[in-house]
Amino acid sequence: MSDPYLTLGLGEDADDAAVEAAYLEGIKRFPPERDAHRFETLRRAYETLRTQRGRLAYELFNTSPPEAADLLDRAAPIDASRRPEPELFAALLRGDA
Amino acid sequence: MPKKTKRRLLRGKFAPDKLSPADIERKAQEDSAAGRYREAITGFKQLLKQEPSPARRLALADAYAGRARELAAKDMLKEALAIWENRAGLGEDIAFDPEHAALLLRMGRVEPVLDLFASGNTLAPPQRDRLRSLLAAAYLSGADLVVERLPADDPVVLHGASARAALTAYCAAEDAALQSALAAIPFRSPYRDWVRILKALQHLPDAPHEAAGLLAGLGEESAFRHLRQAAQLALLPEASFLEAIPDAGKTSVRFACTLRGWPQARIALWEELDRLGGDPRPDTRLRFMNRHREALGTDWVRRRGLRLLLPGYPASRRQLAALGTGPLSKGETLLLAAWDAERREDLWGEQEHWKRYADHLIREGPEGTPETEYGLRIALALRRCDQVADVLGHEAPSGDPEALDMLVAGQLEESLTWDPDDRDTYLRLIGYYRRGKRRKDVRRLLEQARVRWPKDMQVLEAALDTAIESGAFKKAAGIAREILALDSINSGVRERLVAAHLAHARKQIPKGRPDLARKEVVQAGEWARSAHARTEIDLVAGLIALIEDAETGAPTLRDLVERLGGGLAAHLALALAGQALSFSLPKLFKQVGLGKPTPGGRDDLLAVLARLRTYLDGGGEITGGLIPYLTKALTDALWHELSKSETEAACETLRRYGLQKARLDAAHAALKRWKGEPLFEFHAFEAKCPGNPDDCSDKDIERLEAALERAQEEGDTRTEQRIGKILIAIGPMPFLPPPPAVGPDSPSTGPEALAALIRVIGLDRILDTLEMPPEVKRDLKKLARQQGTEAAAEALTSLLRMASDIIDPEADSPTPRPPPRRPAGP
Repeated sequence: MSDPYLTLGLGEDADDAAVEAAYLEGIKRFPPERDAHRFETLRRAYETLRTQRGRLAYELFNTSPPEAADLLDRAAPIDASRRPEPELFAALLRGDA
Repeated sequence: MPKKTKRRLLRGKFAPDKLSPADIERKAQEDSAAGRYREAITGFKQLLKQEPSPARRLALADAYAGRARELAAKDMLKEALAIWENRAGLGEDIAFDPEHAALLLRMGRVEPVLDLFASGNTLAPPQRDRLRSLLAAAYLSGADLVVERLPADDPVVLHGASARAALTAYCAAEDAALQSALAAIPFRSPYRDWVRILKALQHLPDAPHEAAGLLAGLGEESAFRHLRQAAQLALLPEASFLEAIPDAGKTSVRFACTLRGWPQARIALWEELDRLGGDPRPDTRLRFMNRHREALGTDWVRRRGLRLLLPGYPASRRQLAALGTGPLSKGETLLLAAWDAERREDLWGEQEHWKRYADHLIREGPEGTPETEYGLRIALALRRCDQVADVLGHEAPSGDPEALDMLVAGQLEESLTWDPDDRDTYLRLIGYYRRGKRRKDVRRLLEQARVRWPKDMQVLEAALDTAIESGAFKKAAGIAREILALDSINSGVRERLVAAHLAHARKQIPKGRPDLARKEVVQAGEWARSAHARTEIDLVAGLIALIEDAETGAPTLRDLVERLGGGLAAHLALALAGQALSFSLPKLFKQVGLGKPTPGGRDDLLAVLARLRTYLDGGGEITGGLIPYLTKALTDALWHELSKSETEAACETLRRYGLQKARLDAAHAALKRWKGEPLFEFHAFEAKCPGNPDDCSDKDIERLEAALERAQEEGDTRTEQRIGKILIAIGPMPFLPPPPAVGPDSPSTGPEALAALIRVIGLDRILDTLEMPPEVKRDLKKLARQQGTEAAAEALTSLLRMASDIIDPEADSPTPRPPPRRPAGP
């Protein structure tokens, strides 16, 4: 299981309201018809963290080791999408994979 | 020296000198088809030396093309080009491959491609179009020579400026300029795929589905395919993206990462992670996390790193200290031990370690921790064992203070001190104590729960059930009113109260208190709303009247039975109510003056079955004279009027009641209409020989075996399992030995091994695997039933040896053969 805090883009001190706000924002950006997988991940993260009881249970009982995506999201979160430089286009157009 | 050895080995491996030309050709074709192009090239070259032919030259050209593509994919561009040139050198009749041109362009060698295009009258139109498209892509990549050398009216030149303008506009995020540039490129243009890709990219990141649709329209041989692949990579969900990037080219990954918003630091981190391999060991990951603890957060690394110690626990406990991050604290050690117990599914360990962890938190915690976050942490630890293992879910208190259930119940009780706001823990304990009739504990917890959740339906229902169980009907009625005030259509509450009052009424009869019984019936009437409940009340009231005064009671009950239709279902209703009051049924019907019920047809039969099901579902039991009564009453039932699904349901109900005669009749009636139907064969067999399948005839068993095969064929797993159980019970399988060893030295061919195998996987499956004829199968199965598995195994071994002798009569037998023994005939 991916780290639900990272999925929702929250710090580990988030309270009920912050969790709900992050979830609503997330599903607005990724509704199920746009990205079903992302939506499902958001929903699961929300279900895990929506109460203080759930957050503590996650901290105490979740033994999944951190995944590669967790490490990346934690150390260097994704920014806004950018357009590639012309040089990258040129390389791919030349046939470099 | 090593080189020479290698060469000798290779020659030895292929040994083409020793092969005939036909063999070399066959092998080379196989190699080429399997992608072993180097071997194929060697083979075809040798063939061409021995017996040149145009077909072999073409085959060699194909092998060269395959090898060149392979090398280009590995970025071995010079080597790939050399192979393409070898291919081109095979003769002018070898068609030019556009991939050759693509490689030249990739290496920046535009001129030879332009020369080829200029003298390209020999090229087929599709090849010429593809070459033009490659030149268009090369022009966009910066090869200005393309437009300098091509004629001014060539579409690569004509649309080139707009295509480049589109690229500039896209990169600068000038969407209006991009639209305008793309609009200037006609549909039939060598830049068509380029237009599609830019339109797709414009949809990112907000409309990935639209982008994917546009990109999917590009062909596999498009000159722009690398760009398309990179864009498609960018569209993958994050988890799939991380899985895909190790196999993607560096440029594609950078392109996709940019589109996905990956900062440079993330790309660098991923590259470092990628170098650790697909599934790095926990200690490797721990070291990685430790290296990046500043970016990841020291505290986070510590807490998440604990999870990485679990696979190697307990030896891994020293790893944190080895990283220089300090040894495990007491709390961390206890937490790891509890996780480890869960991982090993060690129930006692879970109980012990979570308790120790909670005790540690209690000892170390600040004053006044109950009902704080810290207290909640303690409570969760105390509840964890029950949460994971469902210890109190179905158990009643064992009474042994050292037993797991009592220890866990104690922990749950303790948890309420730290977190009294958990309704589920109250309900769980209440259910557990109710099962053990520990009413004092139930009352204590219910009182606390009702104070906290006065309007909670589950708490109220637990209180209602508890009150009913302890016969506190007045209290139960009060709670029921509370429930109905909250949920006026809660029919379950009414039914529970009606059932409780009627049960109480019945108890008064043996005590000689029909007056109290009547009172209970009146109270039940206050709650009844459904027709079924009213009928039940009327029946009990009528029976009480009959006990008090037969002259008034009998007509009441006769009228009631008449009102219920007068058929078998109505008689059954009276019989069930009478049985609950310990009436002798023949005496009851005689007293009431009811004779044999008039058969009421299909509807009446269905009503009988429905009433039986309701009675059974409500916890009713069949005792005393009810079975003979029902058996007699159902003798002439119109089973043939029921549909298939109705008959199936009927057989199941009759099975639950143990009404075997009626069940057999129903199954036989069904088998007349649905011949060989496995489920009805099962019911017929079981009803004919209930409890002792050995009483059945061989014919019955054969029918059941046929039904088993049919159930298997039809995928009716449930019936297959049910029949299988009966057949296992019939067969002599007192125990299952461990499976026989399998290996070159194992004695796996003798009758003993075969007998063991039969016990493990079953004779049927072995016979099916050996594709034995049906008559042999039947004989062997019969032998197994009559004389045991060993006898069947011995007979099967003999048969196999006989068959082996027929196939290979000269073969020596390593062991003395036993005299052939035929399986016993029918």
